[in-house]
Amino acid sequence: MAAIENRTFKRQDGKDKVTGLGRYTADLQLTGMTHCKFRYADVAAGRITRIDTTKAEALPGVFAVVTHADTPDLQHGGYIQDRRLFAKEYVRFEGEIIAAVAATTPEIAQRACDLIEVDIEAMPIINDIEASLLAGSPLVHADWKDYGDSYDIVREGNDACHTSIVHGDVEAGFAAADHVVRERYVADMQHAAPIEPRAVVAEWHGDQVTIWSSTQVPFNARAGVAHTLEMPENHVRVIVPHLGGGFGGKCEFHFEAHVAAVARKAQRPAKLVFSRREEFIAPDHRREGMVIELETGVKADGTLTARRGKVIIDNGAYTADAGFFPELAGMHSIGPYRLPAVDIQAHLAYTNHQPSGSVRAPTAPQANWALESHMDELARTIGMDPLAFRQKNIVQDGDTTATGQVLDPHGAPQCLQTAAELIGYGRELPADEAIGFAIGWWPSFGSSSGAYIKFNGDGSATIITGAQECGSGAVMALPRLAANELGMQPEDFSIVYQDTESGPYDMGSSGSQTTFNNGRAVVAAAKVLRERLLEMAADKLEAAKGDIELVDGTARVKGSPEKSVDIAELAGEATGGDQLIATGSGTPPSAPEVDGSACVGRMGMDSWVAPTFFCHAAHVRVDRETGVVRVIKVAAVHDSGTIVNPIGAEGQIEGGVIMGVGQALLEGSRIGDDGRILNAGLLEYKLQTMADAPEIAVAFVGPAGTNAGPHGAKGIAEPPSVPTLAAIGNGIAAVTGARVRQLPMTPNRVWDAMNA
Amino acid sequence: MIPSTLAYTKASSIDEAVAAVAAGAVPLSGGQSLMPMMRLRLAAPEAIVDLGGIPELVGICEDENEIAVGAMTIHREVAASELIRAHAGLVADAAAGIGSPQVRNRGTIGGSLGHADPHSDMPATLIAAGASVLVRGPNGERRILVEDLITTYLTTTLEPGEIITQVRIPKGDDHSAYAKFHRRAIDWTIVGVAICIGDDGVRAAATGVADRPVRLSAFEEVLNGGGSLDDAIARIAEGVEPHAGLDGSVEYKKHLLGVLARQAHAEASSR
Repeated sequence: MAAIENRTFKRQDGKDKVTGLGRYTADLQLTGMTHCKFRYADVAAGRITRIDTTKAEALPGVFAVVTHADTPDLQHGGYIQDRRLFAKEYVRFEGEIIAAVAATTPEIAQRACDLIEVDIEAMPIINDIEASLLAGSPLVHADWKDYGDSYDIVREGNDACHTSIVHGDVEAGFAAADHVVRERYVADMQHAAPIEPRAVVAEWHGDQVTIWSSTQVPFNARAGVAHTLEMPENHVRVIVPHLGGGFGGKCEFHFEAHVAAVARKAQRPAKLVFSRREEFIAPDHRREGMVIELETGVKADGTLTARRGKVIIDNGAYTADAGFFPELAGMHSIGPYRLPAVDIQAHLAYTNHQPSGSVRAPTAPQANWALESHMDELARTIGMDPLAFRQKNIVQDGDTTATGQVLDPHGAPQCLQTAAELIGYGRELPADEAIGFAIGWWPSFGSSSGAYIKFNGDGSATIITGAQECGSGAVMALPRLAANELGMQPEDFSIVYQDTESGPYDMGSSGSQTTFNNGRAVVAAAKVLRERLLEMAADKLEAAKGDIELVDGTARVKGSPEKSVDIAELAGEATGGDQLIATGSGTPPSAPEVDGSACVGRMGMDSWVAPTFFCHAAHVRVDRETGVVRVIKVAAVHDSGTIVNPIGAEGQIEGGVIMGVGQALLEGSRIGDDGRILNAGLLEYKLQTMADAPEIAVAFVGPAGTNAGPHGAKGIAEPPSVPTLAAIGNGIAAVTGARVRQLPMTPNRVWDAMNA
Repeated sequence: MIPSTLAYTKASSIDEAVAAVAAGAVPLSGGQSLMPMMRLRLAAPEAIVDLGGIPELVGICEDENEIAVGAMTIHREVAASELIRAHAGLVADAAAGIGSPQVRNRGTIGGSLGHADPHSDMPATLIAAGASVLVRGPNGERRILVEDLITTYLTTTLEPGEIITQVRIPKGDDHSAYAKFHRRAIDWTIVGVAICIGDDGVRAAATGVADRPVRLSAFEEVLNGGGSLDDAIARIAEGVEPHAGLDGSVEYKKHLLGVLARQAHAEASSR
C-alpha cells in the first residue's frame, strides 16, 4: 500500500456531530418562516384533468399554493429533459409532485394539501421492466422523442438508453467452450435510506434566493434552481448545513426549486422537512431494480471463452442521472476478467416507478452479485475451486479490457490473494459455514474542482473549497493534503465548504471524487503557497530557495535546522503585505483511450480513469431450517492506490461492507400491482443494525495509481459497497448447494432455493 | 404526521374509565400501538381516556389458583416477575422479547391484548398458558378466556364500554416455552409458537399465522393422544391461514411453525 505521512487527528465537524451540537437543515428557524408540504399524485400513472386549489388557498394560515402554473413552462433533466417541477398534464409515478403549500404550521400545510382537488384519469401502469421493453407496450412518455437531451441517447419504445459493449467473436468463443452456463438474476429495488430525511429551507432577498438544503451536490442543486426558475446562477446561493448521510440518494437537484417557488409566492421563508415515507417515495434517486441474464463459455481448464449478457434496468418514470447506468452495468457484467469475446446489451426501461438514480456505486452491487454468482456456478460446473478459477482469469498488468483500455499496473490479483489469507480460506469449517469470494472493479471519476487557501496572520490557514462533506472525508483528507505539502499539521487548517457563494464549482459528494479531484485542487493551491513560503524564507535566511524545506511548522535550511524561521512569522509578515492567498484547480486526469467502435449508446463509462480493484471474502453461517444467514466475517481488500487518510479509508470500507450485508440479506423495496411501493417505511424496509454487522478485516494493496488523484490516490467511497453481496451469496451456495437468484437473499428466498 | 385534534381525559378510577369508554373514548394504556396508529392517521379517535392514573390496574399478585396481573402492568415488570416465571415461564419470556427496552417500559399486557394485533406475542402465550381476562363494563365485571377474546385483526369480543382490568394466569408447574422468528431484535414477530405442557396435557398456540392468535388444535391432539412430536408437527399447520406478505410466503410460514414448535417443545420439556 502506498500512503502519505499519517497520524490521526480530530475532524473539524466531529465534536458537533457526536455531541448533538451540529445543526442540520431541519434545525434551521428563520423569522417569519412558513412550513412547506407537497401534494403528491398518489397514483402511478394518469392524466390530470383538473387541479383546483381554491379551498386550500382559503384555509386560514395558508400563505401560498404553487402548481405548474406558477413556475416556468419547461422541462429539465441531466441526460434527457423529461421532467417538470410540478406535474402539468401527466403523472408518471406515485411521488410526482402536483402542488406545494406554504403555511404557518406543517399541520395546516398538510391539511391544505389534502384540500387541493385533483382529478386524474387512469392510464395503463408500466409496472414490469421486461414488459416495458416489449414491442407495443404503452409509452411512459408518449412524446419523448421531442424532448431535449444532453447526450446522444438511443431512444426506442420505453428504452431510455440502450448501450452495448461488443468485442471479439462471441459465436466462435461459445463454439470453443467445453461448457456454456446460462443464468438469470433479479434484483429488487433498494433505497439509500440516509438517517436524515431530506430538508430544504428557502429565503428570498429581492430577486435572489438563499437555499439551505440537505444535498450532496450543492452546485448541481444551484444549477437546477437557476434553470427551472430561469435565474442567473449568482442569484441562487445553496448552503448545506451538516448533512446526515446521503449514500448517493441526495445527489442531483431535487426539491430546492419547489421550496424556492413556494417561498417566493408566500413572500416568506419556507421550510420543507420530509417524513420517512416521503424519503422513500419522492426522491428520484433509489437503487435500480434489475434483471441480469448472463451466458458464459468456459473450457474444462477454466479458461473463459465468451460471454453474452442482457441487462435491463428499471429507470422509473424519469431518467434523472441514470443515463450512464446501462453502460456501467455492462462493465460490471464483464468484471475484471480476461474475456476474449463479449456481447452485452443493456437497457434502461422507463416504468411508472419512482425514478432510479445514483446510490453508492449505481448498478454495481447488483450486476457484480449476478456476475460473481455466475462465476462460482461456472467454477462449480467444471469442478474448479472458486478462488483458483478467479486467480486464473483475473486481469493482470497491461491487459486490454473488453472496451480496449490498457490497464496500468494494479493490485487486482493481490486483492484476491490477500482476501483469501485474511479470511483463512481452506481451513476446515463446520458444515453450516462456508466462505464465498467476489471480486470487482470501479472507476475513479475525473472532474474539475477547485479550492482556495489563505493564511491567517498567526500562521493558521483556511481552505475554502467547493467540496461537500457526506462522510466522504473532505474535512479530513483536505487538511491532511495541505499540511503534507506545507510542513504543517492538519489542525492548522480550518475548512469552509458546502456554500456555493464561497467555494469554486465542484461535482459534490458523488462519484467517489472528493479526495480524488478536490484533493488535487488543494494540493495545487498548497504548492503555490509553498513556493511563496520558500521564497520568503530564502530571503530571510539568506539561503537559496532550493535549499529550504518546510518541516514542523518552520521553513529551514536543509542540513542546518538551526537556520529556520517559523511559518507563523512569515504568515504574519505576509498579512501586512503581499498576502499568502492561493487558488488551485488543475486539469482532471484524462480518460484512457478505448475502442468502442462496435458499441452503441456510449455514455463515457467504457473508459475508466484510475480503476480500482477489490475482493471481498465473506464467512457465512446458514441456518438450514429457517434460511437465516449470519455473516460472521468479511475480509475486504482494495487496490485504491495511495491511501491519503487511512482512518477515513477504513471507515469507507467498513461502511460499505455493512451496507452490502444489508443489501444482500434484508433491503428490498416491493412494488404492488398498482405500481406503488408497499414498504415505504423502516418497519417494513429492513435496515440492518450494528448487531447484524460482521467482523471486518480491511487491507489495502497495490501500487500508487497512475493518471490518478493526489499522490496516486484512487476513488474509494463507492467500491466497498459492491462485492459483499456476491461474496455472501457464494457462501450461501457453498453451504446449501442452492443458488439464490433474487436480491435481497431473504431467509424465505434462501429456504425456497434450498427446497426448490 | 400529526394526529388529528381530539379530547383527552385521564381517568383516576376504573369506574371513571368505563364511563369514558362507554361515552365513546378509546382507552389509552401504554400507547405503543395506538399512538403510532394515530400518528399515521390509521386511527383518528375523537376522544381518548388515559388509563395511566388508576393504581389498581398495575401490579402482580396471586391467590391459591391464579396469578393476577393488572392490565396496565408493563412488559418489563411481567418479564421480571418471579411469580410469573415460576408458573408460566413462557409469558415472562415473551414479555422480555417484545420490541425494544423503550417499548417494554411503556407497553402493557392489557394493551397488547386489547389491541389484538395477530403479530403480538402476548396473546398466543397467554392462550397456551390457559389465561383469562377480567373485564369491566357498564354492566359490571365478567371473565373471558384469552382464547375467546380476539376474533380477527384488531378486533375483540369486548362489548362497548368494556375495558380489560386484569389478566388471570392459572398456576402450575412450569413446563412452557415460546419460540419466535423475526428478523431483528426490535421487529414484530413473523411466526411464534407457544407451548405449555401441563398435567392436563399440551396446550399450544401460534402468533402470526392467521388474522388472530390461534390454538394449534391438531398439533395438541396428536401429542395428547400419545403421538410423536414429528407426527404432531406434520399436522401443525391444519387450520392455520397465514397471510403471504413481505415477511414471508404461506409455505414458509407454515414451515416455520414446525421449526418453532420443535424448539419450543424441546425447551418446555427441559424446564
